[in-house]
Amino acid sequence: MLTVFLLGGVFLSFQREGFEKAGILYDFALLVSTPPQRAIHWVVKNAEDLFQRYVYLLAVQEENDRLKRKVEELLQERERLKELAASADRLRKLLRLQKRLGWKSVAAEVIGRSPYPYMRTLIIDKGTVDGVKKGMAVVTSEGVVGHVIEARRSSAIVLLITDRNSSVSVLLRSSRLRGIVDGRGDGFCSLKYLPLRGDVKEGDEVVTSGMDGMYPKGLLVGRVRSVKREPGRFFLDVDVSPSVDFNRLEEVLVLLSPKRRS
Amino acid sequence: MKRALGVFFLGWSYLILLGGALPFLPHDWPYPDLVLLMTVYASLRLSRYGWLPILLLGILQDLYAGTPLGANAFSKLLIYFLIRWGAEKFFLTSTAASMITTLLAASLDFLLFFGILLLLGLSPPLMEVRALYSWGITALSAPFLFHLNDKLLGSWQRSGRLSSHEVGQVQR
Repeated sequence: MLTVFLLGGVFLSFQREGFEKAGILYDFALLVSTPPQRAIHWVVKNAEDLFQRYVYLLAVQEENDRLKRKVEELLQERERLKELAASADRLRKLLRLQKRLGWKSVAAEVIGRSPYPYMRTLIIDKGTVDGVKKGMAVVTSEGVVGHVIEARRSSAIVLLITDRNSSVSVLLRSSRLRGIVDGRGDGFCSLKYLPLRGDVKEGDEVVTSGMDGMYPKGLLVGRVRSVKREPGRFFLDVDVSPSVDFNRLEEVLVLLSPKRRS
Repeated sequence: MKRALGVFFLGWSYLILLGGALPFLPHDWPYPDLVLLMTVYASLRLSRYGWLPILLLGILQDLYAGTPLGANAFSKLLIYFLIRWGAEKFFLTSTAASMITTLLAASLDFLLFFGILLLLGLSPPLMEVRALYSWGITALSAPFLFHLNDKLLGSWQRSGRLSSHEVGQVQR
């Protein structure tokens, strides 16, 4: 009892002499309490952080998923727009060709190819209801594709210029020599009936002559690939590479009839 | 009859699928002659009315390809009856035999088409590497397509008589 009393007196005397002297006790008390408090604070803080991060991550994950979907949608949209732009570009070229040719024509889409390996034909999505008839020329902005060999109600079959049964009356753009371009069946054509002394060289442009009554004059058919002069023969042996890339053929123009000039 | 109709509709679907898919493939790539494959299949697997789907598929192939109407119908029917005749004499239903039969049938089909175009005064196709590739691909596709056909036509009612394929199975 006395000890407690004395201790109380000591504490009171510390109070009376100022805060500085009591600092030792505070220091001691703080020294003892700080580590566990720090530990508790660390645990609570980290738990809180962890919780917040978890909640945040959940939200981030949701947002991430949403953004991924958005990116996917935008990529698809971009591809679609690129496809549309490319299609519009091709159609614009066809339209320009249509205006330049001065022929009534109809644009058609290539929807199929010959299921028989020995025929080089295409199926287009325009037929007799659109005015397409047998014998009409089919072209693109790159040049001559072929002509219609069968026309049905809503589709038609086009014989490519590379088929063995195709012939086009042509002339060489530079030398104006006339000849016939026949399909070879192997993706190339032969230019026939050019005189042996004719001025023909590789790269010369071969254009339609308009003499066959099927193709308008001046349409690009292809370029001379090789020229062989064999003595003892009447004509040159000329190979022609078609100007149209049949691997990338999507839209074509069917020439219906020449426009009447007023 | 039901199975024969099944072969026809299956062959027609293949024709449409192939014709629609081809514009997306390089122009000079060889591809199998599906009607010829169906012809070999029908001659080895169908006993009665096998000629009917082949006649119709041949006409359809002529329509889609722009070949003279009847050219493929004639050549495919002839091949059908030849293989049926051969199947009575030889065992043609094994995988190797069906591939060899298809290869021979493809070459015969080419020759027949060549002859028909010559007769009609048209330019026949060239005997080039692409044609040979086409025969090869057609022959190689035979076992896969026959297996697929068997699976797809499995639910169809079998015709009354045993087919040469079934006869072969019984003999084994």
